[in-house]
Amino acid sequence: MTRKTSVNEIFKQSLAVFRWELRRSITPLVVYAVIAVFFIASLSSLALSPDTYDAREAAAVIFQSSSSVLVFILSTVFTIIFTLRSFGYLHNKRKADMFAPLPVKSYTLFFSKTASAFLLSVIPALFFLGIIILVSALMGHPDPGGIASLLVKIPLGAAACISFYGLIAICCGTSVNTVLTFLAICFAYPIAAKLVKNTIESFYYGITWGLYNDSFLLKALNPLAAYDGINVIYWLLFIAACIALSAVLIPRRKAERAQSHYAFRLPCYAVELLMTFILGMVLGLTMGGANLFGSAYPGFVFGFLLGGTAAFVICHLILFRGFGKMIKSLIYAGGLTALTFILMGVCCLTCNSFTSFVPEPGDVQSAGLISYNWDFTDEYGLKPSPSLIRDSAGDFTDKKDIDNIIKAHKSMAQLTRDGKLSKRFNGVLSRSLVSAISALINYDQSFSVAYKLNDGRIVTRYYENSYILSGAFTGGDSAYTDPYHYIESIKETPTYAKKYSFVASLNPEDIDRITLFAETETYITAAYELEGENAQRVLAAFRDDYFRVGEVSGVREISLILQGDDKRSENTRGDTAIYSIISNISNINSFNYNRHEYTINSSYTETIKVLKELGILNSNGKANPDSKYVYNYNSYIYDYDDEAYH
Amino acid sequence: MIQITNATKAFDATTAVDGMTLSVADGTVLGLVGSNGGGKSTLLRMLAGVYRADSGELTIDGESIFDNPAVKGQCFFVPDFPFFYNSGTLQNTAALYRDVYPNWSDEAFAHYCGVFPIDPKQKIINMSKGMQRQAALILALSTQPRYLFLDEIFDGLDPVIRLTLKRILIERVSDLGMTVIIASHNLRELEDLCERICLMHQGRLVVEHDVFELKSEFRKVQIGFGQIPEGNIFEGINIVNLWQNGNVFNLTIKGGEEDFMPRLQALNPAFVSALPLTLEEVFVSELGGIGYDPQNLGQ
Repeated sequence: MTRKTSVNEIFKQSLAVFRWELRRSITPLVVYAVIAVFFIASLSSLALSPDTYDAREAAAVIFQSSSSVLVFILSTVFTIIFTLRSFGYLHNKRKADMFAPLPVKSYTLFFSKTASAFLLSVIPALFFLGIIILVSALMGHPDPGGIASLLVKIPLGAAACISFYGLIAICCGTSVNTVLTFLAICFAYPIAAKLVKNTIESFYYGITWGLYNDSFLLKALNPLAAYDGINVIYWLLFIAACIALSAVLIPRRKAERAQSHYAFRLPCYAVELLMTFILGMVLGLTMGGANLFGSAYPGFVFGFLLGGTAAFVICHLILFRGFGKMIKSLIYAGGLTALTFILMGVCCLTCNSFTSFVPEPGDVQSAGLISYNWDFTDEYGLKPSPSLIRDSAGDFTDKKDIDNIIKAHKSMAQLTRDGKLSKRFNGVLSRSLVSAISALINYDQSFSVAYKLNDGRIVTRYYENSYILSGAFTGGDSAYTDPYHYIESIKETPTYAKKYSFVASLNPEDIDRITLFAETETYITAAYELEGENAQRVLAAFRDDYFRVGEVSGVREISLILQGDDKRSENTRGDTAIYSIISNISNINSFNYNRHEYTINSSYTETIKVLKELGILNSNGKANPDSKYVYNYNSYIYDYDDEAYH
Repeated sequence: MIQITNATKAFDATTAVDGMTLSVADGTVLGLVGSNGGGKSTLLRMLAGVYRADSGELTIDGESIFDNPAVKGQCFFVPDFPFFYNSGTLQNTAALYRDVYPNWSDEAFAHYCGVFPIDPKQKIINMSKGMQRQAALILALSTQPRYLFLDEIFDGLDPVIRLTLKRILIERVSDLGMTVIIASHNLRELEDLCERICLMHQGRLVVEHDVFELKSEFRKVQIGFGQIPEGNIFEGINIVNLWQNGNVFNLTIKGGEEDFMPRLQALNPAFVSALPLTLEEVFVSELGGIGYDPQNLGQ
């Protein structure tokens, strides 16, 4: 018979444990505070010292970013310290002799220690972040965008890591085993998930699953990723699951398991399976790619068995200290291997029909195409997402536009049509390497197509430039230029301009200056600069014209102007005056300084009308050299050139 | 009352406590003695709620001990190597116990800090082994436990402290009805303190007896002859151990003097003397009876 403990008693006991942990942590907390205060005080002093407003502004941003990074690092380091200290009682027999006889329920003790580790890690971080926000506000720059996100990231990351570590600590007999197992799962799981993702993307090139780079599935068992502050709901569920599993296991944990290697084998199986899968896949894909037995699939099977068996045996010997429990492990590993072989077999059989599929124009009700260039990677742009691509299927119903989209798609499908199976195996590993390198050119020159077929089905494809660069198929840059012509024709349509252009996503308030160049066929005749209300007037008129007419071709490359190259005149379409609007977007807070250049021709009637009203153009549409907005453009051109080339 | 019913605890292939059944009445001091690895410390840890029994039951006043804060609040366990944190002083460690033990007494804490010569503000980890045990005892006694479990508590304590501790324990047992279970190899100390003794070997209870009765049950007899009589001279006498040196015999005899002395006198010895056994001699004698003796170990 066991007497029930009241909620009040549990609360009192939890508080007692927390107070004890707090008392024990005073020294590290003082160290934490001294470091944080020293750096925040130093950085804030430096931020206040500059004389000019701009310099103070820049210093304030540096203060905000560097001091918040410092608090983040301190928080991470002390989270590790407090977590290791909190769960040490599970791994030391003498500590078990101290804590187990205490009149506190085992789960109350465990969760009190978990909560203590969390609170001791997070509260100081939140406190110092609050101080940084306060100091920033006093400096007159209260924009705490980055800091505010840390208010979520730090508690979420700390809670995920502590709860996961606590769960593993229950399963392990020593702190060393706990740390190693925690790290093994944190690093092995994303690698395994990435291999699965890359396999799908390599075999089913064009599949829009590839866009889920931030998906929780890729980081599901890596609580360190919770510090990214995304997938919040998943991480909350993850934390809840860890706590629930801990609540089940902690009363069943035998105190005598302290200083033995494992109390529960759960993490052993997880590490063993992950390592078996990773090494099996790496060797399998390598041998499949090498057509080891004259065919890719048998090579993959052989390689997987070879690599998987080696990893399995080594892991088992390390984790189980011998061959004990081998049968149970073998059942799990065998199941994983069989499942991998079946799924890879399905991939091999079905991938060609997927990648070579392009609908016939007659089967298409409507279609859409989105090109992802650098506009889409800045803060104004849209990121490619499966829902965005799917929604684009209804954009174009005109036959000519649909034909252009199908042609762009077809040229990409041609790259994969004659691709051998072994290339797809190779593609998985090369893709893994390229994706790391191509992080900076992530969406550049990528595009998506979507169709709504007559039978109501939606077909979507996404083609990523980095994948072509990986050489997974026979094509390359030269082959990629083929769809580019069709893509451009779609991009110039008013429909595209309205939905996906930079101008469409632009917040007019972010434009602080508009520069206009009046050009003849051979040289720039005048330059004008507008700010404030007048700039907004021109911009509003330009937006109307842009959405109505679409983008028009014109002089886009400033380098040609500097060189006085006659190629510029080829793009003038015979207009008497071509006006180039260069919008300067200066986002002071993020230090982005982006310029977007557009060409205006006579079809931009609203814009020309406003420019006439402002006196920039004469009534005959020619540039007015006496306008009050004229400025010396030479230095501007050279500046632009410098930036364009660096 | 502590009731242990058929309790078993195994660690992998080793059975540390094997089907132990024992009752300990309130207000008594029980000594747990036995061979190394006999299961004494494991039994204490089971009683303290550190280990859960694989089978059987351990209860205090009818309530299960394991993971039962209400019962554990009445108990205190001082292990053979008490644990203290590096920064732990008597004062700050007391703060934890004060919060979790329902019967914690600051008066008792202050009192025992005066009895045992320990500075409450000194780091315990820097103290000697004996002083660390004293620190553990101060904390234990301040929780005012009804049940106190002590593992090798006399180890490292100087004679004065040992005597002080015994006095305190006796006082608390007689005045407050505290129940004490002490596991120790120091049989001389137990002899003074315990009313009952449990002898454990290989996880099993070999004998459980009242100390006085146990000691009076055995006699150490020395008998010498001018001429050793013919035949089986000690027939009918319950001899546990016999050692002969010429015409002199050293015997360990189970039973009262009134039973065996007339028989020995009848042999017309040159001299005969009978003395009670010390607890240690009883211990060796009993374990010898089940094959655990120096001769067997030597083989």
